[in-house]
Amino acid sequence: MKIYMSADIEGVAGVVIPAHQRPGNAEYEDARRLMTAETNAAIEGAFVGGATEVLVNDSHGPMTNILPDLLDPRAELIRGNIKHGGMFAGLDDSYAGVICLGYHARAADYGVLAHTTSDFAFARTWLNGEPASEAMFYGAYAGAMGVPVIMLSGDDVTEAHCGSLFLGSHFARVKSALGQRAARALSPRAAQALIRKAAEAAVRDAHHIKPYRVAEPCDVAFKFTSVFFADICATIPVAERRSPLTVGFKTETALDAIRWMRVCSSLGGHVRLSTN
Amino acid sequence: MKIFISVDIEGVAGVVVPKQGQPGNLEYEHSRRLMTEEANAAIAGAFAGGATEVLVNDSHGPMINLIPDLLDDRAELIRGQIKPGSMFAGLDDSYAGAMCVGYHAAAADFGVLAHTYSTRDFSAVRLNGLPASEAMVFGAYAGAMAVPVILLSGDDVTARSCGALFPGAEVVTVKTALGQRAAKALSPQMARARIRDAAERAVQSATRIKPYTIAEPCALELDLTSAVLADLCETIPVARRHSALTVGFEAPSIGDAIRWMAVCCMLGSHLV
Repeated sequence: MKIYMSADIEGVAGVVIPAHQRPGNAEYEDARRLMTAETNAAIEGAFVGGATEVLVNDSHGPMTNILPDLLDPRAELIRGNIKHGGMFAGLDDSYAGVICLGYHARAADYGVLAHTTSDFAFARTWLNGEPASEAMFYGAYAGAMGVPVIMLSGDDVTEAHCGSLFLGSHFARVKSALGQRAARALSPRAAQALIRKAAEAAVRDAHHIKPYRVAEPCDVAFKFTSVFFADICATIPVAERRSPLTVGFKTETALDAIRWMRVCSSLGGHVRLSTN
Repeated sequence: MKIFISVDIEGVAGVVVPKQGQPGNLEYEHSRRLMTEEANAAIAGAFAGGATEVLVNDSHGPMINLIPDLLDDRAELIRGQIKPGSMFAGLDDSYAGAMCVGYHAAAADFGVLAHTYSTRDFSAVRLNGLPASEAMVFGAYAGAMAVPVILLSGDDVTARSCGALFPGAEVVTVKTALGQRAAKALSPQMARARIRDAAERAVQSATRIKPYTIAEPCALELDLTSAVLADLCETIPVARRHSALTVGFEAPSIGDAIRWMAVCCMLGSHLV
């Protein structure tokens, strides 16, 4: 049984401030070790639960956060960016389930470091009219292949949101949000034990968990953090300008909705260079 | 009679090195003045030839190069970006003709500071299989509105390669390329005199010049300067990856082809 893992960083126990998720400082070096250790806990649990193969996809920022020589050697690791499928790169219908580690709440919600893909770009995102999290976008992408999200880890706000999307999935709540940049967290050791147990149970349960599906074709919409940013994204020939701050796209698939999200987020580079 | 003037900087007499097109240094301050004066020459010629209204679109880089209080006050000026139509922003079918002042040769060609839209991002651009210059791309955009390009100024390579696209248009060679960053140039005064006279003749003959059109829908191909930029452009759902360095788009109109080119250029900023 093949299990797929997508590892983000904001939902890791102990991670609470932007510096933790931004390469180039000592806080980040601590956070990436915690992220790697939580991933190891999930890998361990997956193998105990019956997985025969585990693929881990580094899914945060530059996607080179996990320390390869500290990662459980039984797993294969996808590093780097840009890659087809983004946070779920490498997933196909041969996998029995997806585990989302270190995930976080969506843009404009409560929850530690809540955002959707880019807090520089997006004030809000919608998929088929619903406020959307990364878990929702990528869970829908997996669901379109018939693969269920079987487990997630993160804070309590993430649990409340994702629990209602991925019915029957398991959740390891490693911290409770006290604000955007504050949380009460389990110790890393306790968090890892919780993740190990949840992963084991989820893999045992995988066949009983239904894939999360959204209606396709889809409608995806983004509220940008500035009108200038929206101006730039509205130059995309198939984009629809829906308000000064909002641009939307009609897409055939959930994957294409994700691709538009990544295209718009990447156009933020041009916004950064145009600050004058 | 309404006349549209798009002004770029690389084809201005005296401009030869990248710095002269990049804000934030003294060389640039000189060249933007030269650019403004060449625009003035075209405006003066246009009015002398019978124009009743002139719209100038700043078409280089950040598109805030022309110095407004040095510009002929009979003209209106479009500054800044992002704007629909980009280098030909503001053009519609009410104009009798478009002028391209300070234009340059296409990416991968000879010619002073030759490039197409972005040196950083594109090593070549093709439109319907043909190597594309900015003059070609925006000339076709104007042509789709039935507006002819009636004047083009720049170096000798631009005059040869782009001039051939616009039969009957006035083509002004203000410098001769000796390399990518070297040229033998007319004096600024002489360059302006030639542009002024050519603009006057161009407006007088505008009604006899045919618009330049290309087949639509059109195929746009971009050779990117790195494979990672090609990876990034390929995340656009309708993009087609043709090779490690090449991405293509099928666009229903030349306007959309221009927009895809601009989007891929802006995506290049993500990798800076």
